[in-house]
Amino acid sequence: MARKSFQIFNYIFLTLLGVIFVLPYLYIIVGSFTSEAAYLTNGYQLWPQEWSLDAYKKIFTSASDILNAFKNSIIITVGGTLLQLCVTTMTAYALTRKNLKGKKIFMALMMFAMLFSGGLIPSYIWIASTLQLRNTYLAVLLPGSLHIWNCILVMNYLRTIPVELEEAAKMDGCGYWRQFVQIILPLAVPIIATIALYAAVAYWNMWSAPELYFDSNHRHMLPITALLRQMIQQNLNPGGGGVSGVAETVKMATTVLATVPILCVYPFLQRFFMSGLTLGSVKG
Amino acid sequence: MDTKKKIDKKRRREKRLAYIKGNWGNYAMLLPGMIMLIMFSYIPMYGLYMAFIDYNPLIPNLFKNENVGVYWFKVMFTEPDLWKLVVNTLRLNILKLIFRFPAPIILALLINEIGNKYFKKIFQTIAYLPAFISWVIVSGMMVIFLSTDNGVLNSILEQFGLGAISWYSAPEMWPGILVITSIWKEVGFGTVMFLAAITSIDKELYEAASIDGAGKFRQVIHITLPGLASTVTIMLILTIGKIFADDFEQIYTMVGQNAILGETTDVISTKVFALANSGAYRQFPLATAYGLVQGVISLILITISDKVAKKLGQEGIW
Repeated sequence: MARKSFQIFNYIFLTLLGVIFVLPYLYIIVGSFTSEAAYLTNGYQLWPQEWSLDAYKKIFTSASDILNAFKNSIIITVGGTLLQLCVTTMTAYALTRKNLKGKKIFMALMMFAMLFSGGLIPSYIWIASTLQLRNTYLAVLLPGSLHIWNCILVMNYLRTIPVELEEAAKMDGCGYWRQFVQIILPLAVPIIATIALYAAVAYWNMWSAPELYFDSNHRHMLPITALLRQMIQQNLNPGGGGVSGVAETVKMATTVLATVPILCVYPFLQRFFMSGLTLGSVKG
Repeated sequence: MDTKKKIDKKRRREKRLAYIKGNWGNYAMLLPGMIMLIMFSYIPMYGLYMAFIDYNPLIPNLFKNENVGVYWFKVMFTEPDLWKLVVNTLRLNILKLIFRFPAPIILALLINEIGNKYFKKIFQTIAYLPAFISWVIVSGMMVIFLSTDNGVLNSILEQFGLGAISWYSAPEMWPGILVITSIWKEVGFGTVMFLAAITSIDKELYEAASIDGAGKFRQVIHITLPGLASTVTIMLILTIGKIFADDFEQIYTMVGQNAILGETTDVISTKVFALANSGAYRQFPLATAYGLVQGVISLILITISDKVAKKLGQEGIW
């Protein structure tokens, strides 16, 4: 009896919790399809008095900042992900070769960099002033191109590939680079797909680096997440900076646009993440 | 004797060179990663020297600026702001430790008791999604709930005859809001991890226990919880190790530069970011000093907590 009532409680409790998890998305999605007039009279509602596509029309028809920011996000995400994949897999491959001299030094360099950094302002001055990368996409793409944690995940995976395979390839006269491209990379597709998805999500969600490195004359370079943050800043602290004069329904439509790509990759992400979790636990 | 040593040295160097020549492909492949590491992790560390100078932006070479010793650290420790930042950081982290840390464990135990496969799967999918959306999106969602005039929470309060609260100018509410939203965003991620740990517990233990007449509840107490103990311990130690770090992304997106809320939400990293973004160059050394102190304390705490985790027979972070 106690068991049964616990089960009932459990289902009800988790269902309520599930509703709490879903509710914010519903409000945003419904809000983006509400007419501005209905929003102004009734506020946020789950079933508006008047449905409307106006917010999306505004975004898609005019030469809007938002569509442009969406394009910038795609540039940053594609560019950043490809760059990170190249640099990270190459580093992981080199570090898993047998008897690489100086391996301990390289590993120590990576570990320390994961735990300690020069901090925001020294990095900012180095990248923006000394390297003169201010207002370029390189400023936001280059610093994360060697992702140390992802590199460790790839290394753990590469260690599971039998050495015999490479030895056989070597016997057949397969050079170092061909081994990497033709033998190792195809075998490492599962882990590469995993870190590609992590990287894509991270670059898509990135906002602080673009805000820091693109000055007010280069706002047209901001990705959608950064632009959205500046719009929301108006709600948090009216008159305290940010982007003003954006209708609330348009903000919600922008939020939907900034979430849709994540929702599209989510099914793949979820599947790969579980395998990534188990891969990560195989430490050498 | 001396000549022999010299010859030895020379021979060793030649050997090393020959090795690098024979394995140049390896080093070439390592090169891009190491260049990035040095360019964007190690070289910026020299900029920490900024905490010890009177910075003049017209003199780009830090070492040509006047060295003022530990002046900025003295300024930092006498600033009333410092204690506010430290107290805010610790308050948020301790609240998160008490409420956010156990949440995924409890949730994993509850989900594990669900028999219906589809319910289980759908719930996990929903709970896990926030891990992948940006804090910026969450901050937008919270505006819907917390707006003073037409926010969802205030209309509910009014329906119950309670007065509306202007959330965005009520600093005392924000430690709670930040903790609750961080549970909302992060609980799914931890739950999936603890569920994986639960499924790896030997099924025979449960069978044996139920033959011995142990009920479900006693099985949870005597088998599931001990089975999770090692995962929980390591997570706990690592969380405590990060007690001096702060959740910049969450706080800066949800609060922004709101001076009223800053009373309870300003932490070191948000202060440093606001300074860097404002271009107040004269304040850069002070902000660097803040960052340096936080970085060193965090490094020490994380290293200690990792050592402790390893002493307890766990794997540690690396």
